[in-house]
Amino acid sequence: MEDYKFLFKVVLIGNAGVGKTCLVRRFTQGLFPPGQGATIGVDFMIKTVEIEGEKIKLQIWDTAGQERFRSITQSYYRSAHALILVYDISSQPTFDCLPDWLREIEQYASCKVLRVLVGNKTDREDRELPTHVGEEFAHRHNMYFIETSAKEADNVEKLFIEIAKELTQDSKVGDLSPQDVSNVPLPPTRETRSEFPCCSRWMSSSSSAT
Amino acid sequence: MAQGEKHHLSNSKLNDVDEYGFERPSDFRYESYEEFMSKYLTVLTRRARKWSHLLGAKETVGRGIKVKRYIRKGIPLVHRGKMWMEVSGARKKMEAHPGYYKSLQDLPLNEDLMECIRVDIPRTFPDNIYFRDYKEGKLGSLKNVLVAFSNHNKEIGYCQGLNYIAGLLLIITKNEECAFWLFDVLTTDLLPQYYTPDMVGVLTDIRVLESIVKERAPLIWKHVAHYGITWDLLATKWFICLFAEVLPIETVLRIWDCLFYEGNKVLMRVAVTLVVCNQEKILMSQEFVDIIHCFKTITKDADAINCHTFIENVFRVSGSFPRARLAKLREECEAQVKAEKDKETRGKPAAYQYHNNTDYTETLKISKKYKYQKEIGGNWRKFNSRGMADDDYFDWSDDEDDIICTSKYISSDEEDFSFPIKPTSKRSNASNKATDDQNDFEREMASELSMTVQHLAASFAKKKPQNSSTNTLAIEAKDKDKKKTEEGDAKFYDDVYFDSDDSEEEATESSSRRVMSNDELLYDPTLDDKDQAWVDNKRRSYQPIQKRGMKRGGKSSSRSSLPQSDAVLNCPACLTTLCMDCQRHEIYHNQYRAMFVFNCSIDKSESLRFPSKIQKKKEYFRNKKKKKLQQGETDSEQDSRQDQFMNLVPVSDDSAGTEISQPESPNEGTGTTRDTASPAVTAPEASSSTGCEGDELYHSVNCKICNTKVAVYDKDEVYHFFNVVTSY
Repeated sequence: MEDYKFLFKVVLIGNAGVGKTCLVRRFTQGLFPPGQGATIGVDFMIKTVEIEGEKIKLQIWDTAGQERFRSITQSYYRSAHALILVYDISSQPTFDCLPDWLREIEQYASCKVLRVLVGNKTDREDRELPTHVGEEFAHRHNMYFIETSAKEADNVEKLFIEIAKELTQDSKVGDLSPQDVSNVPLPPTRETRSEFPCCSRWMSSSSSAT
Repeated sequence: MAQGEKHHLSNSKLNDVDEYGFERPSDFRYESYEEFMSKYLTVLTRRARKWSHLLGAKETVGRGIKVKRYIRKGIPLVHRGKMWMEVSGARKKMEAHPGYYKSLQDLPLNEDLMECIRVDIPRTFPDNIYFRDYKEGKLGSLKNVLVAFSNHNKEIGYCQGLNYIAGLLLIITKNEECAFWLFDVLTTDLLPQYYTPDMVGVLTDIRVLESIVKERAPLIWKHVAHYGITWDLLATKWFICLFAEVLPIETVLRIWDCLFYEGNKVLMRVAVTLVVCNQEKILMSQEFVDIIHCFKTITKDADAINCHTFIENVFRVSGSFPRARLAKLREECEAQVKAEKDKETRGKPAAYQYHNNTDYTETLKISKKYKYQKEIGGNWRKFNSRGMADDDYFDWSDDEDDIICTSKYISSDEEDFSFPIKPTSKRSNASNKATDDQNDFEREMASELSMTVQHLAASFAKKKPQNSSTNTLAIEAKDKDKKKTEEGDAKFYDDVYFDSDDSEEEATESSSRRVMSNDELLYDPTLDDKDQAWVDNKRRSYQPIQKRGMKRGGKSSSRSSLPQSDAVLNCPACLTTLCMDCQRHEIYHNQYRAMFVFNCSIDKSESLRFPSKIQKKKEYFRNKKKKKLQQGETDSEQDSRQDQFMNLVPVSDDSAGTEISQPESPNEGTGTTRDTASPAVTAPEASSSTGCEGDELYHSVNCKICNTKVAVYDKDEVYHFFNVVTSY
């Protein structure tokens, strides 16, 4: 049995083609494959990170983006500790769908789930969505916000490390020890979140998260 | 053509890109692939030759057991696209709608849908060199096909995963319009509700797979459930992509060959085979992550690459797989899926129906009306693909590719493709109706294996017979022994599988090809054929003479072919073959009845009596039908019974030179009475004969070799096997 202090379940959602799989592969394998096939159904990867000397295992669930796959992916939201909602900064439609995704989250995820909005593909030159638009949206909906580039490995590590940190902190505060994911019906409590919509913190802090 | 393909393939194996344009992954194991290819090339060459022979100058093939077997053994690449078009009915559709495909492309498409397609096109087979370019490559064609289809089928529009399917169709057909019509056949006829917005079809089939696994490999099911893994996580992609992007390309194409010809059942067979064949690996994975990883690796390992053996396993391992059973399972699972959906999203219309979910009796009724079937064609044909087969074929087995079929598949009856009326067809249909028809052998083997894994040796030992020579061996040794036997069986199938249809051609071509001596080959290539011929001959000898040569549909043939047998029965202790022609019990699936047996001895000293009251109600109706036969019973009971069995099971006097222990006329009313009869006796379906007015009398039957009790013998000279190991 692998040794770890906490195990957290992180689920990535968002429209098709925004780069969910690339974010996961960049983080777990350090790869950005030039061609990445469309994800069908749900995929799963795992990575152990170290936060303040403690091993934290992240179970990362990558989902298919198309709406009709939601009937399959929904069941994975429920037990998630963190949800990463991804859009493509070079594609307005992927941003316009965010309210739909939020409704999904409201309906199927725990209300206490850690929610992170990610604007991916910052390497693209045809940006359609300025950073502040995403930031404002995240702020309005009580989410964390970060912009990433899976291709350039920008902020990807940080995204997951910050999530791991937050969840660890919450677990300690909430006196929860989610060692076994199957026995964790609810994610750690996040009472203080509304007071600290930490998007600015994430955006400004240095990228050396480890 | 064959030569060209061979040349093409043998060249491609040295390249970084395969013959379909897929780049070999960096960790591609060239050595093991070459090893497989060197063998497979021989098969391909032979198949190419056979197919050329089959097709001759024709462009098309009909339907029938021979074509089916040919297709299961793989359509040569040169014929593949055309054959898919033919056997799936896509060509007819295409010809019925000239210019339709072109017209679809000019229609405007909903922007959201267009965006979905646009996003997925460059994400189709990124590892294929043909899918990198719009102008020179196939991306433009892929877009055309997907857009046209979205306009054509508004309900489906576009579903992620379809890009892979259309892509592969383009690779094979190299023609947009053909790909489009095949795509249409797949998504609307073969796999209804798979790609619709609610995806009920896929969700249903995932559940069906789960319940089959639960039944056939309960340990895997428990194991997976224990780690909180749901089957949609494991198998969604399998079903949505029809194993494209899941299994190795060659294997996928072989599966699709069967899919287009036989219908969607093959997908479930493949899924079950993947799970069951990898039981050990799955059970060895002791962590959530490992199990998920394991399910990914089993689709890429050497077993999956070796497509020829893989496909063979698909039909062998998944065993009996009656359509009726599948339809029933689907019905149940679909109800569950819908109930859950309704719970979540109330008010959504639940108007989705599997075509094959129609009441089974209804289906049966229709499937019997072949002419009507022919007319309606279309969907029905897909879901009762028996309808496509010739009349006799269809009449005598409702489920064309069950065990029955497996044995047909294996047997070398090349020259004989029309079948006599099967004397037992009624019963066969009835037994297919059984709700719980599954492959006991597989189940037994699976549980045995599981037991080994869990070291539950003690309970296992109980099953072992007393006088067996093996009972002195350690349990592990026994297990090994059994596995060995299984492997032995597999090898036997293997050879027949490869060579069964070769004998006659081998002879004609010997002049052009040097015939190697058996010493050079290190085996006798004709040995299996000879063995098979012996077995066939033997079994043919059971056939009543008047049935021989009698054909339905006016087909003439000098030789009659064999009736189906539900299994080959072997002694559970010494694995001696006991019977090759038997019928499985409708309800008690580990029970078989037969009239012609080997290596069996009837123990007349032991008589078992069974009160027939329970049976009476059941038999009332049956007997009603058989009034005629019952009339003359009192006088010559023995004779009339024989007459009756002429109707049910063929009777033969010819047993000379065989190992059959000729049954003597049973001495009724003698011997001690025993109420503790075996369970077999509690429901002797076969004894639904006349003359069960009084108590039923049985003698116990032992294996001649090891004296294990294997069956009971009734006064009608029918053997009822209850303690046997089955093989096919």
